[in-house]
Amino acid sequence: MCEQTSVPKNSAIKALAVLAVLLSGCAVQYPQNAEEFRRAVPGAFMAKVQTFEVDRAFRDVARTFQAKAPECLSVSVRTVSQTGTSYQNFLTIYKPTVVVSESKAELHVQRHYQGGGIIVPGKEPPGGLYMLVADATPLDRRRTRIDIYAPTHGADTLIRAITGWATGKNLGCPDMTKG
Amino acid sequence: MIRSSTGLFLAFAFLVGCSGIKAYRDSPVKNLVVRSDVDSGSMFSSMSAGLDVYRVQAGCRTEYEGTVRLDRPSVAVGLPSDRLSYLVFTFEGSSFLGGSSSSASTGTLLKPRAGVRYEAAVSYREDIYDVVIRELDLRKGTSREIPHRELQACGL
Repeated sequence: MCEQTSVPKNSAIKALAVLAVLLSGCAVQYPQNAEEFRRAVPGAFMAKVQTFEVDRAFRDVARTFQAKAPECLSVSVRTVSQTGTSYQNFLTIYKPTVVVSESKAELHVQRHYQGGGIIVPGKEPPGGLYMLVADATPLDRRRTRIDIYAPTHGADTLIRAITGWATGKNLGCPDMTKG
Repeated sequence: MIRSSTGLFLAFAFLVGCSGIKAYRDSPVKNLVVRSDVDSGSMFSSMSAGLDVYRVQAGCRTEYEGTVRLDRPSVAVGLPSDRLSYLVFTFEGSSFLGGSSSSASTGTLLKPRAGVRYEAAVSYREDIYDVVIRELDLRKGTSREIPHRELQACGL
């Protein structure tokens, strides 16, 4: 697994976000599996479902997910932010999982925060909090439907990469240090 | 003039020594050509690419051998033949305004065959990077893509 580093320019905002998590006293009910995540996204604040079709056979889309997800998404990102009064250093470990059946190919992305005093106020599922789920289902022999469940912010690059894998037009990896 | 040159040299040596980065001393036979297409950034940001070469030892342990700066569209590198190397392509970004920086990388194993040429197409565009390595058979005029291999697969 490659460790990638990020020193954010909006460190103050990120520090506040981290602080909010730290100060949050109430336990949060996090989705414990992909199905719970799918059910939670449509009604969630700052999360959405994107649906589109690609002119590519389901088998090819599934094969690309299987090849690219472990190659590109088994990464960890070290974030270091420093202001005049604070210093934060934590690691975000991403875990991709691909599940393929006859009728569906699922790509799950989880992330786990390590260090930096980050406390997740609630039960975190094994592998980390669910960040994104992408489903591919066959429409006919040449077309596939894609559903992506993801946050509205902070996953743009990842969503673009998965879209590229689904269409087959861009097989590159997302720079996970970018939003 | 001599003093300022010496000062520059010392500063350079200090920086290189501290960062741990050293230039890769490659083989005279250039068997890998790296073609880069890297979004160089904007007026306020920059992006650069590099190739870190590691020697792979027993148990998939690695020994850093040096870095090749991919600062030209095409860079020829001489890798040792018939020996496993771990190639890590890195993309370093920095912003001048906010003082931010980031580094993304991807690594793959490669065991170059003697007398065979390899080409790596490296790209970084709109926060998406890609590295594709091909083995070229000049006699037959054919080429094949080398599958990405994780370091953990070094014994396979």
